[in-house]
Amino acid sequence: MLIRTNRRGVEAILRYSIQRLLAAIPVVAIVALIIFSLLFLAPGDPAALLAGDSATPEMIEELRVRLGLDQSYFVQLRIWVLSIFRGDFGVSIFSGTPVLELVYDRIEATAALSVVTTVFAVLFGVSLGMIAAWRAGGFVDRAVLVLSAVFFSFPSFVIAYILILLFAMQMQLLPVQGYVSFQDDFWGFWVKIILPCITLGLPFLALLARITRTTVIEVKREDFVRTAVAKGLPTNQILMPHVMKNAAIPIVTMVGLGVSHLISGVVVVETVFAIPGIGRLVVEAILQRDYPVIQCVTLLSSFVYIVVNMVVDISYSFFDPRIKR
Amino acid sequence: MNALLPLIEVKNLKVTFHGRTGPVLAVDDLSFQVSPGETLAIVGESGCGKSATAMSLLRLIQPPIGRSEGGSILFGGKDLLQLEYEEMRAVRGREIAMIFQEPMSSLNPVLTIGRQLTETVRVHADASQETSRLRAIELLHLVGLPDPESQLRKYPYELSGGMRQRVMIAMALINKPSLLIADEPTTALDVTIQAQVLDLLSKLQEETGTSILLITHDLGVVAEIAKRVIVMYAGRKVEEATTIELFDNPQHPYTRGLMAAGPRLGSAMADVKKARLREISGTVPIMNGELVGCPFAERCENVLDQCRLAFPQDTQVTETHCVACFNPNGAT
Amino acid sequence: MKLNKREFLGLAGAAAIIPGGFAFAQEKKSVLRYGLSSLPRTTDPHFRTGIQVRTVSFAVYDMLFAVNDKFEVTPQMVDTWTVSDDKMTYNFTLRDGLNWHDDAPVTAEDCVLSIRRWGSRDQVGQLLMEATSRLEPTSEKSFVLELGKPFAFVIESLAKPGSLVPAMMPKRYAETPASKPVTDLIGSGPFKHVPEESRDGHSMVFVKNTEYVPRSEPANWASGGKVVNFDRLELIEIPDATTQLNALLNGEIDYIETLSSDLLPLVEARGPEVARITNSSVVQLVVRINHLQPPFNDLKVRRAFQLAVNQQDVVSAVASNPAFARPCDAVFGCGNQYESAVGAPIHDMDKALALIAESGVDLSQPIVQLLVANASTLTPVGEVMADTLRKLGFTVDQQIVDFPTFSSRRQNQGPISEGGWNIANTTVRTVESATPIESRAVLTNGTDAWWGWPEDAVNEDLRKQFGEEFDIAKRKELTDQIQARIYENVSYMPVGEMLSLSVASGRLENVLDAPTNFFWNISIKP
Repeated sequence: MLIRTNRRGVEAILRYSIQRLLAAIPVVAIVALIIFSLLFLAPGDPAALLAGDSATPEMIEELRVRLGLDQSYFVQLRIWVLSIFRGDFGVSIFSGTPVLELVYDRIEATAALSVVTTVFAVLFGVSLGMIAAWRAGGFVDRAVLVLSAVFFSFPSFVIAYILILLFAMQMQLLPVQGYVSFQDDFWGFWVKIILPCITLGLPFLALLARITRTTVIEVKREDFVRTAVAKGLPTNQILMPHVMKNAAIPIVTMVGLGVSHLISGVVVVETVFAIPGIGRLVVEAILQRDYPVIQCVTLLSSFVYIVVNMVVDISYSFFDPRIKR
Repeated sequence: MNALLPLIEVKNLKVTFHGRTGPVLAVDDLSFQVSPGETLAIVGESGCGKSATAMSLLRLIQPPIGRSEGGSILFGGKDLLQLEYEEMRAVRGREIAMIFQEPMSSLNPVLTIGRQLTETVRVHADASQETSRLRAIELLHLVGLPDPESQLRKYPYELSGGMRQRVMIAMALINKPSLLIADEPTTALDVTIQAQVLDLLSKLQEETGTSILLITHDLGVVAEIAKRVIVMYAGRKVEEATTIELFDNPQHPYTRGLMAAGPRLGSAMADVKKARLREISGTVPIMNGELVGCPFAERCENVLDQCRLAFPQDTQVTETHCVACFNPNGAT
Repeated sequence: MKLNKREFLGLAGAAAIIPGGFAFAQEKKSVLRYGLSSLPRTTDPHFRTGIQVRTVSFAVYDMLFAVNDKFEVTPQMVDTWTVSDDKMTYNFTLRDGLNWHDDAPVTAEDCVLSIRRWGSRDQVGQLLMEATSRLEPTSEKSFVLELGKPFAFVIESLAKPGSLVPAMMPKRYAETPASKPVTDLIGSGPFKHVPEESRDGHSMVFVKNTEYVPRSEPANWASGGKVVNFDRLELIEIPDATTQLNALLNGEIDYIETLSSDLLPLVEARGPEVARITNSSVVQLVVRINHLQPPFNDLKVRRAFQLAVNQQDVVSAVASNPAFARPCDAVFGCGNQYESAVGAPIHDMDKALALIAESGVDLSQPIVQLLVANASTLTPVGEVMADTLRKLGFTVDQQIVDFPTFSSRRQNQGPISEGGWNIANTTVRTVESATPIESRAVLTNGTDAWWGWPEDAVNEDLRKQFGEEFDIAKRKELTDQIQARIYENVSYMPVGEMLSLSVASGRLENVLDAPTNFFWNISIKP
């Protein structure tokens, strides 16, 4: 592809990214404030939970004081904001571990799961959508339409159980559960991540296949595709780049949305497959009112959301030169 | 190639489109030929089947939109309608190239001019990036674009309409095709640009010796560059003649209708202004296969009873002039 | 001696990383993988209750004494001990060969500090500390405990099988206040924690403590010789119950802490050579009513409600399979040493309705119920209670809450208008409520009691007598009296028992059947 990637282009992208990130600071701040306030207002007291069933009211109060939960809203907010500016996200109420350490421990699994799932879903979803669109009305097309409706409407845990039953219990090909870092065991990583990624990726794949199909069918009707055929280009060159570069923007938008939404699907998959990820961390934290953990993960996910959106926006100008940054 | 042998010979071509209510006949029993180096124009109102004819020469009408149902298109000793997909692909853009009406939408908006030109070379020849780039520059120079090298890096939206059509022409001619199909090449352009593009086509034809099949509804354009003309109405050829004969002695009532407000032979484009077909009362019938007889009958001032029963056979007026009409001279 | 050992270990470690090192470095390690729904976030045995904390505590820490399956106390870390004739002075001497996992020897000072720390938080421990006038080391390996007032359960307390576990810790941890949980896991027990191989939310890894010297007696619960027959223990967090069982059947784990009741048929279908139920621990289903607020401040209403409750309804609501739940009238647990049916109410709806009419209670005031949502046990029991109240003519205002909200709202002693409550329910492990002095649940000292705040001076006096009674037969008499008193005042309402079952793969042999899953004594078939 004749893509202009000179130094000025790179600089422009960098400048744009920094501008976007700076512009996102107020958004993140507002998200943080809302989360903090909601948690403050939410019923339930982590001290009472931590102290346990048999604790006396004095023990609970002692804990509240030690955790600073007896302070007023504004005092707690000030302490929290100031410590964030120092890069201190606090300590988990329940494990006593620094929150950043907890998040750092968990982020790899979720990141690996999300990245592999996205690659899987994009690769197969877009390919299937392309094939379906190119032979619209054909067998593949109808199969894609039916399957995408099925996968999109099936709850993840049902897909997960079916996959486990088939590939782990019946065929004994893959393990039921577990996670290992790819740095520790490269093969083990792939063997263990396959089923979770398929589970998480199928609805995403279905969505991408459908949006790709629709978009490609639209682009296929464009005059320039007829020109490409008239020039004698082979089908693969017509699809790539002629059709796909034009179809890319709705697809990339959907990929961005899908990645942002993975976090909700990740909880179920991490639970069923026993993967130590961020999703489970935050759900446990919410169930236990582990405020520092909830706050840190929320900030992190709003930041990820902003970065994903930014990458999607930047990619628009890559796919369509008419879009100015 | 022997000048006596036609470059391309279309015989009894039949093209149908799949409409919502069933197949619609776009081209019916059409035969014509183009000799090497000549320019043949097909004129008619929109929907008369002239574009469908042009497209089916390159087999661009494919299911589910429509298909060529019968006849043959002989080109270089082969019937294009019988070719395998890959064989046909080797013809497209190499032997037969095409220019489309809308240069903006016919160029890919997200790829550079350079990419779109060079890929046309490289898909048909084992050319290096550099060779094809030089060829692209040469062609852009040929079609009169200033500073061809910098044009290569531009995207279509950065060019004017006339420049885009020049790029389209360059792209069509880049592999030195023996037949160039120009489907309404000037319709979307300003009048002054129209003239330039037509001049360019004539000039290039002289230089390259390529044959041109010109599809247009504009008799002014026909007068400008075509040597012979076919008039189509509702998928049928109603008259065929040299340009001089047609303008001097139009036979078919439909042709005469077209001529009524049209230009005389030799009148300059500038005088013609927007010489559109005169409004003929009535509408073009939809050819769904039920109609027997002459499709123009309902609108024809010379209509006879027999016009409604059968389509008239071609009648030779001169050796190079024929017409399909029972009553060209208006006898009652 | 120590230096030599370190050198040797260093050499062995170096050999292990040399490719194709010595043969013994490559010997296949035997691993036991234990699946549980969540790893303990806090592992401090003096701080947190709960089965997971107990599982880890017993593996890593050792105790001075321990009970066997007959609740008989036997020495564990203690070698010899003496009691003065007036039963007021205890002298303890530690046995030889006790070392902390960081190699320092266990001293009497460590143990004294550990007892104090545990005693500042645990229910029995607090009683012990209140009675203790002197607790200090007398030598490197001996310490003395002198009572200022009579207390009969010194040894029993230190052998306590339930939470909070009186685990022994090194001095530096034992010195930290008990309100601040210890995050390291350094004990003197049969397993060593390997934090660098553990991963939050995924696994806790332990290796066999090869330095550990087990007692010579056979293992029985936590008493006797804790002999470990494998090299490595991995606690693996698998939150999903179905996945746990699938993993066990697929050979990925060997042992499941708690089987979900609906999965029992799947285990039974595979046969004992694949998987079998090994342990069961029992929880009491407990209803708490607020004695401070109307209508349950009225004894007649409390009694009416007690008579209206049908344990059979509760049991069938919590488990369709009778293997998982049973009615039980014993306040101190069925199967425990103080099991009794004395004073138990006999379900009688007519009598209950008569009592309601007699009490003249205002039935138009709705009963506020704190109902924990989506909890497999708490929610159905709560529904049965609401139904029972409705049968008595009450209207019930069910306030659906999640567990954290429940944990804090139940502390509210105020009236309904100030966010208070009338009825709620919970569970109590019978291993932690086996005697009248161990459990907070049977306290009746009013606003200082467990939430519900029953007040009954007679019961408090009986409990005090129990705490000072050495005679086994008299203790039994006292618990019967206490139980009768509890039912009379409706101070505590057990409404049935639920069993939680553990599952072991067919590879495991000699698994101990105990209220906590112990990992010693188990051997793994190759």
